[in-house]
Amino acid sequence: MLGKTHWRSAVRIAIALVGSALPVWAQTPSASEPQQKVTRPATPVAENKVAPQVVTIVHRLNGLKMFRLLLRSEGQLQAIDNIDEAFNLMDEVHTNVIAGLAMDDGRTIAARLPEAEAEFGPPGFPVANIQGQDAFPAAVMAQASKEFWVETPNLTVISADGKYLPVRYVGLDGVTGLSILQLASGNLNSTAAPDDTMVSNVGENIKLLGPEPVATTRPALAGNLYVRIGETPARILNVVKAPSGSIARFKIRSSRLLSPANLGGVAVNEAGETVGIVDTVNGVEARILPTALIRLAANRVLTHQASVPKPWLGVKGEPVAALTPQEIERHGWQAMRATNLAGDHHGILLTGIVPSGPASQAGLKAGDVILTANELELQTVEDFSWVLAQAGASTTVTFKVARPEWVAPAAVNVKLSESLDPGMAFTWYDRAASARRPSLIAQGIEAIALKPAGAARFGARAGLLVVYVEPNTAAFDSGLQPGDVIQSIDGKPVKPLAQTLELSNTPEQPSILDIVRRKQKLTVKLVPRPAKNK
Amino acid sequence: MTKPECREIRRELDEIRLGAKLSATTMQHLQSCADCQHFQQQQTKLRQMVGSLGMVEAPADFDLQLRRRLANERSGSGYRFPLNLWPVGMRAVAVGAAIVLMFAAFIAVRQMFTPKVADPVVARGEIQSKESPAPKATVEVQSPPQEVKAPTPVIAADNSLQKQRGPVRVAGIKPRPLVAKDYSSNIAPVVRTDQPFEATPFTINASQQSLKLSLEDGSGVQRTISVPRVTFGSQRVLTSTNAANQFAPRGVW
Repeated sequence: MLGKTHWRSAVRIAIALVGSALPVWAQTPSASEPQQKVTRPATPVAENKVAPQVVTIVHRLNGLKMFRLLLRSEGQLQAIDNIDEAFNLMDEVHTNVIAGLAMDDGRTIAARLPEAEAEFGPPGFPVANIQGQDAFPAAVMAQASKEFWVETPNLTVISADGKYLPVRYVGLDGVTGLSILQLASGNLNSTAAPDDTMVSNVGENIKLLGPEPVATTRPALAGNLYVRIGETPARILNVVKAPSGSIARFKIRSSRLLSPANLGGVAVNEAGETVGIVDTVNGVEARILPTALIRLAANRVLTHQASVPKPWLGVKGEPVAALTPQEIERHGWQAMRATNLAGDHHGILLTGIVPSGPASQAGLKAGDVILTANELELQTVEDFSWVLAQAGASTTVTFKVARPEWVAPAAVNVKLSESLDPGMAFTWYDRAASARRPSLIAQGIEAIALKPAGAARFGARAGLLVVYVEPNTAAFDSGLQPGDVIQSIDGKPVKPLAQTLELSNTPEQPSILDIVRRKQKLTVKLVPRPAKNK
Repeated sequence: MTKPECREIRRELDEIRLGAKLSATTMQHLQSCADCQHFQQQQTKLRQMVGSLGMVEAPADFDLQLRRRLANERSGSGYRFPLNLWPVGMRAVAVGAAIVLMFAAFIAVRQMFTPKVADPVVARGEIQSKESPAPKATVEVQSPPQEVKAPTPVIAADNSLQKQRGPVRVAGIKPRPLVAKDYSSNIAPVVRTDQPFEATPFTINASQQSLKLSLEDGSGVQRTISVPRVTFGSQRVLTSTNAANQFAPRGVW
């Protein structure tokens, strides 16, 4: 490689270099001499620690499910005017990334899926037959699960150690709003799972854990994003106990401003034990659903292997203890009695009643104060929620009610209804009430009106886009599918207005529906069933 | 039939999809050419066999694993020092530099074994800086010798993993001066699944398409709704109520 001359020159260079280095070396302090201070950049510390019981859940929704949500959440929706050109009904259009809590068995997961509603039918959709009323038989559900129109929720669980696991949606717990999922086998490490015996103290430091996007310079494929479990420090502010003595809610405060992205996060203490799941955020404060209630929710759903509705009363109210006498007076109470009520610090003042709801049917009015429920004195919102949850859906509860016009409190019996929507808006009932009318929805069809531009995306002219077909209904029998666009009923073009959804309501007069399915024209014969009275 | 013709026919047979119609010329040729007929049968069988294998679905984290592997291969692909490409003069310089380095190493090793040095210097900068709350901590490399009591067993908790201890001085034995970081007194990292561990990022294949539409409400007012492709946490993306920051409304039963 090197010739003789080059070797020589290499050695000369080496000697020269060593020679020049020697004086410098001689001046270098020995190890016993004081050395200079050097600064060194701090190594970044990975702040994020993950409790193994915290998993990430990815819930993907296609266009059809988003339309279903849109219809149910937009009370005033009349018609869809236009849709983005790139839109495809069956393509995924939204991905929700949420924290999940692995339970003791290593396969059950509790999580708040905000869009779980998209996976269900409208109010009245078959739910667990808890009280033996108003539920669809198991045989129908089994049949339904084999049919094309039952869309399996698109869910993936990513364990704390980064494993991607397929998961089954078992059901929704209406009382807590938690979705209960289950893995095929117990793969999750849940040694630090909820512990009922755990005592949480005011002032205790906790962390809110949940998935968060990671800003990275690493390249990602189109649509892919990097995620990790992030943490938000917080402290327990107060602990609200249920009448049973168990913890009903925690209130926490963080040093950082909390955002809706913190909702559904798992709260763990410094020992890594689960404290609960975040269910409300407000500025720097949040409310936590405790582990004991999460366990109860999981047990309810797993026992029935189906969604379990929450009892529904149809009222809005505030605890008297949180009101001033003046605020109570505004609801029709005389000054003296309002002062007495405020001084007693108990009862729930009803500020609104849903027309035709269970409370309304029992004769309750806005301004009434529910002093006791099933003989249990009510002081807080949690007390009332606890009593109703204990009573269960479709049961009768006895209230002791004070009314401005009444001299003394009186007992009022109310038969509770049920609801699967944990975030049930106060106006929701209007939609449920519309189900009683002889209309498409009464025949098991949920549809959105499409204006010509919007309908053109489906290869149709103006019509009704079917977003849900309820099992065991006339629509189901007729073979109508979600995604179909109904263009005309009995030869009359459907106008894109909600009021025109009327159908013939007698079995003797079947309706002929002209539909467009995947841009192909078809005819469907719909033999109506008598409207259900729910 | 001539060979070039057979070649053309076979090219068509090779390119055509399973079940697709053949051209008239090919059909005619096949009737008279046994070799090509055999070739067609072989092709059809092969395609049927491949078609019957079914789809193999890649795991959800396939792209992440692939990229990681590619990155590893790239870094460990055995880079060859292109010495032969250098001019001869440069090679001489390189050899000279190598000799200097060897000489320096010899000096360093010799110094390491010299017993007259009083106390070692342990480069603790990196570890200390981890403990320091300030992002840019100034670290003193020279530090006084630390008298450390017998190490107590520590469970591998997060903080304990990061703690560095000074060298243990045993009576009668002079400690050796160190020129490198000493991790010997560190606690070995123990992986315990029931203990918290650092969060590593993972990839999520999010929706590529978003939902954007214009709608008309009850009062005839047109609105445009755009649903984000991805959301984090249990926030509802479509809600007409103020329930964005709460999952279940409080005070509604």
